[in-house]
This record gives sequence, structure tokens and C-alpha cells, in this order.
Amino acid sequence: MNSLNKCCYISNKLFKYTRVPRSIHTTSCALSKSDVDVHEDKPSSASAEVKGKVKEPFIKNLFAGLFDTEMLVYPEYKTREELVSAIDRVAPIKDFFVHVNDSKAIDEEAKIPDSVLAFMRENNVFGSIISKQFQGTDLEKKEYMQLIEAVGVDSSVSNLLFNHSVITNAFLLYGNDSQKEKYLPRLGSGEWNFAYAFNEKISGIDIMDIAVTAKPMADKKWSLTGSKMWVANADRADFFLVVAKTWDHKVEDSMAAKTTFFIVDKTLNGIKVGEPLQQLGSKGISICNVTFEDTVVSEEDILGNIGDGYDIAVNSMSKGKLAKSASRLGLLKKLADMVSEYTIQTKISKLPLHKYEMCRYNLGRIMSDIYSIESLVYLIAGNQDDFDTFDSILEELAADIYSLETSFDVIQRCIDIIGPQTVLKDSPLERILRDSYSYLLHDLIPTDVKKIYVTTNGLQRAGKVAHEEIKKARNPLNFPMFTLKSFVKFDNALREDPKLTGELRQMVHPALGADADKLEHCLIRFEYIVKEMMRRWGKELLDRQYELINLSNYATSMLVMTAVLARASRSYCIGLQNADMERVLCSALCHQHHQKVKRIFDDLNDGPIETGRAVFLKIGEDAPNNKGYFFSHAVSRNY
Amino acid sequence: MSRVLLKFSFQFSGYIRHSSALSHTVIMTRTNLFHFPQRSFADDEKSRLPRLNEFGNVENKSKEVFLTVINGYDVREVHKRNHVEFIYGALKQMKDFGVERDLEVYKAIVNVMPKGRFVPRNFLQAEFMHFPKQQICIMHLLEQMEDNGVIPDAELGELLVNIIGERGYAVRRFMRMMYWMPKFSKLSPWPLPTEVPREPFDLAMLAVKRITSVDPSTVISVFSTRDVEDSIDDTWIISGQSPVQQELLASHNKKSPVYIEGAFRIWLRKSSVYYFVLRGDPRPPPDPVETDFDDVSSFSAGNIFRPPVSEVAVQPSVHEQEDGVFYAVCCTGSSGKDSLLSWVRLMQKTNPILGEVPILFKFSSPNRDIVTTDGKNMDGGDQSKTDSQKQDDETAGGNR
Repeated sequence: MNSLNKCCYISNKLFKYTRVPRSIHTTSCALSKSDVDVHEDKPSSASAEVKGKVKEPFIKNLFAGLFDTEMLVYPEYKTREELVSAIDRVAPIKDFFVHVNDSKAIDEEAKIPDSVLAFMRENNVFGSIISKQFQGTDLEKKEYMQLIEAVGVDSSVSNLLFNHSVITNAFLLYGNDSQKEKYLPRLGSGEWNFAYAFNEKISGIDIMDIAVTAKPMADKKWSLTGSKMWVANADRADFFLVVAKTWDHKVEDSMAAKTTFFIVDKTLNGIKVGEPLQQLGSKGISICNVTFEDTVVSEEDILGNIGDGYDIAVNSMSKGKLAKSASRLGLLKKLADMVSEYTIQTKISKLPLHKYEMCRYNLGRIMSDIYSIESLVYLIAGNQDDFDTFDSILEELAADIYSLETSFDVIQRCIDIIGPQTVLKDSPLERILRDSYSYLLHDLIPTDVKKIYVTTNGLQRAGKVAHEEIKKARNPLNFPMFTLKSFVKFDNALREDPKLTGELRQMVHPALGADADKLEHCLIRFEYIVKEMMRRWGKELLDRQYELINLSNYATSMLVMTAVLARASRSYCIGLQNADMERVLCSALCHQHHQKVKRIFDDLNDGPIETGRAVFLKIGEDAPNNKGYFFSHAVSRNY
Repeated sequence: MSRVLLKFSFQFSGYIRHSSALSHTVIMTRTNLFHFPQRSFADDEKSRLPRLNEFGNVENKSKEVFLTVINGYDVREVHKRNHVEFIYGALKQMKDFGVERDLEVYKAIVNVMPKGRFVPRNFLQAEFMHFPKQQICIMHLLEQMEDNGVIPDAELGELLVNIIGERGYAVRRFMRMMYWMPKFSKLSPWPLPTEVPREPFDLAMLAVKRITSVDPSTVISVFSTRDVEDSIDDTWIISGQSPVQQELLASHNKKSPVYIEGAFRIWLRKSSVYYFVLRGDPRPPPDPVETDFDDVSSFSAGNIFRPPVSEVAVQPSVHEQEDGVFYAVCCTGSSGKDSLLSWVRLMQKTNPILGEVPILFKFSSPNRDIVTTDGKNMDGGDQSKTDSQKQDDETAGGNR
């Protein structure tokens, strides 16, 4: 029965693999395609077969002008049993956070009660990403996401869990065997609490200028001095993971400074944890400033090697970012249920609120936004499950950024529906609104920096592939024929309705063909705009942050389109409930993102002067010189 | 036919020929042709002829008195005889009364003119400068306003229209002034109040603020020399130094001296302020970093913690100039050497390096008189001018 249901979908999938896969773009480097299992009918052997396969990073390839058409095949559980067992495992946690946990009380008391923590320990929530070797449960990504989604309804707990996962990732990636042996089981059981002492002065960290220093002492010991700000969970922590500045030599030359992570026991001398700071939201997880004064740490407590600080920070913080999106997903779903209920109960002019068009529109947008986030999260998680190695940091970051920005949209729409009650003290929306801003403290990386990270990594790949071409394009007079040819080559990308190869169309249900064409349109233009940006700015592109951020927005939109297309196509093929609605929703979302992408394209292609951005840059330059707003008052006169 | 005639007359009419491009200078040359009345009218009390120098024998020179004299003329001379001469006389005296920047007074003077009598009745009259003597007189008045930076207002315009009609040349000039003067008055990026403060301290504060506006992070501090133990002067010091300058000073090579240079002069409208700078020897510009901007093969992957910086060398700050590195600026109440010594002592608290480096005073007197455009300081100005001219002549001769 089950296989019959999937029949249509599988045949579509099979159809694809009978063709010779090739890149839809005519760039020199062809994507080395890895074969997903074609043998859908033998699910037991499938997972074993797939593991060990390598998947190319998706966004990086987009920048290089390649589209991995496999991404349009939505990953799924191989058997019904796997799915059911995953749902069964998550069910009690979901139930606990919906019915037992009292977010309001956590917010008021500014403390996560022990009962909640005890429950999480019992259910092995902390050990979800730790391998079985270290007594973890090592959940599949899809299942982990469902778990996080369940926990996500409470912002404090999900932030605690995220904090925990950052630490765990740091150990998993960089800990040596004895450290893993010592810390991971206890982290997994929730016995030991860690705090990530990272922020200084500004959110994130200025790697050139870290105030906390570690000086080498005799008998291989290090002495830590300095203070860290806004350390989450510091008052409950047993250990700190501290990033500090170290030197190889005695000379304190700022250029030779290295960053190193130290595991610091809270019981050591000279550690002072300040009073918890007042916060706007996520009050259950406290934020304190921590001061170290000649705290002596032994050399075994260095995580990774000396000088690894930067890599550890980047990788540990980016790796679990998908969980962030999942937790937002949980919160938004709860919010959507709340708002729907509200529109049924509230009456205006004797009609329930949802009978009015604006309310219906807002509700529809809320649902579709949540749908797109959900598609994105499980697309990435599923691919992480299906492949052994999938360099998905950029995808995770993109999902994180998208879910963050969309969640604010959703919350704004909820406010529009509910109105003034939002800001009253007892309103649940008021708490959610406050909590939603806690990302500023707990995310550790500012959104813009994430976007720049995504783009620069993508550009690195793109630059490697196309640097010869760019060099020629930047010297048009030396390469006249090349220049002329490139006019012809990019003519297609600049047209309103470019010629399409139709390769993406073949990957989805025919009913979604038009939407797949829109995605291909975006792709063709993306290849052009990336090269155009590199041609226009050359190496200086790294300083053009506006361009970087918008390229990232562009890529993110394409990723979302891909996810939505893949999901809707699958649903429609196998006939899930409301699949018809999914199909049209997919069209609507693709249209929206297509429009957005067009705007970005025009904005970037027209350049700073034509779009008036140069003016804003100039005003931004003048404002500090004038120490503030400097235009004459609207009512001022000259004579 | 009439059109041709008109064109002909336009070409040969002295005033009109220039009126198409009614530039300021053209009008000037025209108006200069008209001489001030040289002949003295009867100055004795009994004469019924109007007196030319009505303002001359007034003792208490103030705005009230000036307006009273004008009012006196207005009341006395029902037929406004010799009002042009009266106006010229008034214009000449305005500076002595200190009212040369007062719009109200200018309006009072214009108001002396009879209304309606000079208004042209047809366009020919209008175009051929009806009542030129009167119009030129008003244009002199407007010119004096412009020279003093007095922006006219609508009321003055109404007066002029009543006197010489809408197409009058003086009205056209008034309109041009109304167009340009407000625009010019707001063009300066360093705006000053119309009247700069008379208090030296406030004036010096304005000067330091203007000088240090190159670096918005500058901190301006006010010291008193009384805080320094063995200072002789008792005066104030306004000192401006930005954190960047502090850093630069801290990294100053201790073997080379720092200079206190001055006094330099900065003009704020018609007042000048002397200031001094703390300067070090110029530093070599950073080595230019050779970057191939065309090579995109090695983008450094984004640093997640701070914005990526391209490999272009960091530009030197605005304080590092070709002729030296400027560490601080100050004005003192006395501009004396002792007050500058106190300044260094006071700066030493925040810049300890000043105790370790040799400090040289390089004074150059700014007091050589400056040639001003108005006639008053001509005597001193002439002296210096001749000196420098002599020098120029000598060098020129040598070259030959």
C-alpha cells in the first residue's frame, strides 16, 4: 500500500536517473554527480548503500554556476516504520512542551525549573547529537530537527539547548580523545553544564582584539586574565569554554597573537561571575559577565591546538544552525495555531475576524511562510542524513537567516491580526515578541556577518572556477574577441524571458513546470550577476558589503524555491493530504521569490549610482562628521 | 516695424545692451559712471536748500539717532527734494553709525523715496531705465547691502515696486539678490552665526571647533593655567585632540622633537583668532601594497567576526600630512609662551610621552598686518605691502 502511494513519486525519481545527468550550464567544470539510490524497492539495503556517498555543497556550486538537480528530489524516510518510530520518540517531548511546560512561569521567574531539566535528561535530549560511542543517542538529523521543533515552543529552553549544541559540536569536532571521553558523556547526560564565554564588547568577536589573554607559565600551565561579557548560562555552568589570546613567544606582538579555546573549571581560582543581567526575552537562560583573574589552566584543557580558536568558533557555531531554524519553526507553528484560534473567537460587526479579507491574507501568509521554512529545514536535514559527507554549513546558515527574517514577518502579521492586545503584559504574543529578539544575544553571529560569510565562501568557489574569465572581462581592450563573445553569451541572462534548457522542469511534477522554469530563470541570472559583480569590483568585491549581502539574499531565495518546489512536487506526486493546496502554494511562493530575486538582480546590476545607493552611502559618510541628523528643519527659512 | 526699431534701439542703448546679461559687474561699471555729488549745497542753518551732510554733526552715533535723522528728513521735506543726495549721504555714514548690516535701516532709507512718481507707464519707459538717477541710487544702496551680506526681504521688494514699478532695474537687481544671497549664505560647510561672539573665549572655542572638525571624534577640553603650579599667566586654554591623535602621539619617535608652532591665524567672519599646533616630523607613507584587483582566484573566505578588509594598505589618518603629523591644537587667552608651556603640562596628564620627548617652540609672528579691503587699515597695510613688493621686485630683478 505504502509503496503504491509512492509509486508516482518514485517513477518520477527513476525517470531522472535514466537520463545522463549533466550540468544545465555550459561552464567548464561539470558537477560530479553522486548517485542516489535508484533501488527504491529495496529499502533495507538503501541506507547502507547511500552512506559513504559525498554530496557537493549546494550554495557554493550555485555561485560557480552549477545547480545540483538532485536537490529537487525531496528526501524522505525510507520506510514507514522509520518514520513512525521517529514520531513516537519525539511525541512525549512534544507533549511535555505543549501541555506541561509553562513558558509564562519561566519568563516570570527568570529560571528554567529543575523539573523541565530533569525531563530533558530523562529523554536524552542533551545527547541527541552525541555519537553512541559516548553514550549519546546520535539521532538522525530529521529526527533531531523534529525534537528541536518540539522544544522550540519555549524560547529559553531552546536557547539553552542551542548553547549546549554549540559546546557539544566544539568537542565533537576538536576535542582530543581523552577530552571527548571525559566531557561528552556527561554533556550528553546533562550532568555537566557548560557556558560559552565568547562575547566581548560587541556581539561576536574581533579576532584582532581579544581582551582575555592567556599567558604561558612554568610547567605547561596558562594563566587567564580578562573579562567576557554576556555569557549565557554562566551562573549554572560547571565549566566555561573560553576563547583567549595567546602568544607562542614571549613577545607580545599583536600580529603574532593567536586565539585558543580553553576549558575552564568554574571551581578554579580567580573566576568571578557577575549578577545576571536584565534581559528583554528568553529570561529563563541567564546572561552574566564573567571575569577571570590569573586563573591557572593546565595544558590538557586546551581545546584543539593553540591558534585554532578561530576555526573552532566558526565551525562550532555554524554547524548546529539548522537547529535554530527548527526551533523557530516550532515557535511559529504554535503562534499560527494561537492566531487561528483567535480569529475564530473574535467577532467584529457580528462576523468572526477570519471572514475579513486582510485577516485571511495575513493568515495565509503566516502559514505559507511557515511552510517554506519547514521545507527548507527538512530538505537540508534529509540530505545530511542521506549522505555521509555533505558540506552544508552555508545551507544551514542560509536556512538560519531565512527563518530568522521570516519569523519576524510572521510575528508582525500576528500583531496585525491581534492588534493592541499584543503589547499588554499578559498576552502570550507579548512574550513571544520579546523572546524573538533574544537571538541578538544567543546567536553569537550577527545576521549580516552570516550573510557575508555565505557569499564570500560562495565567491571563493566561483573565483576559482572563473578567475581566468574575469581577468579577461576586466581588461576588455586586451581581449576584444572575448568581450564581444561575452555580450552574446550573457544576452540570454539579461532578457526578460530568457531561453531555458528546461532541465529543472523535468525534475518536478509537470504541474509545477512553470515554477521550475522560474527557478531556472533565477539560476541563469545568478550565474551572470555573480560574474558581473566579480568583473565590476574585482577583488574589491570583498569590501562591497551591500553586494555581498544581496548576493546571499539571492542565493537564499533560490534555496527556498528549490526546497518548496521539491517538497510540493513530492507531495503532489504521492498525493499527501492538501497536496493540491501545496501545489498552488508552491507556485505562489516561487512567484514571490522570483519577484524578489528580480529586484535584487536589477538593484545589483544597475549599480550604486543608478539605484541611488551611492547617495545613501554619502549621507552615511556625512552623518558622523556632522554628529547626527544634519538636514535643516522642515520649517526653517533662509531669509 | 516697431519690432525692428525696438531691436535697433536695444543695440544702441548703453544701458540695455548690457541688460541682457545683467551681471553684477556690468551694473557696477554703469553705476560707477554716476558720480557722487561733489558740489556742496548750502550747509548753513538758514538755507532752505536741503543739507547734504545731515548726519555729520550728530554726536551720539547710534541706530536710533540715525533713524531719527531719516525720519526728520521725511517729515520736513514734503516734496522729497534732493532725496537722492540725502540717500547717498546716509549710505556713506552708515558704517560710522554701526548700522551697515541692519536691514531695517536700509528699508527706512529706501522709504524716503517718493512712491509712484517714478513708476513707468509703458514698457518702453520701463526698458529704457525710467528715472536713471533714482534707480542707480537704489542700486548703489542694494550693492552696499550685498557687500555687507544683508539679505533683503519681501517688504523691501514691495517698497521698491511702489517706487520704481515692477519692471524697474533696481527691482530686477533686488530679485537677483533674493535669488542668490540666501543660497550663498548657506553654502559654507562650516556655518557661523551672523554675528560671531565678541568674547575671545567663545570666539576661540568656535575656531578650535572649526579646525578640529576634520576628525569628528575630537575631544575639546578647556583648561585653566591656574591648575599648573608655576605658571605666570592666568588665562584659559582651549585644547583639541582626538583619540587618534593621542595614539599617534604615543607612537611618536622619542628621539625626534615635537614642535609647538604658531601663532597661526584663523578668520571667523571679521574677527581673527590665533592658534597653535603640536606637530611632529612627517612620517613616511605606508608602503603601497601591490594588489592585483583583477585576480579573483583567491577570495579570502569571509571572516565571520569582522567585515572583510581588502588587502589595500590602511590609509593614513587625516592628521598625518606631508608637512608633519599634527597631534593637537589649542588657543590660549594670552597666546603667550607661558600659556603654551602650561598647555603642554596639562596635556602631559593624558599624553605621558610629552614628558619624555624634547619640545621645541617655533614661533612665527602672524602680526604682519594684513591688507584689508576696506580703507581703514590702509596705512599699516600699505607698509607691509610695499615691503613685500620690494622683495618681489628684487627677486624678479635677480632673475632677469
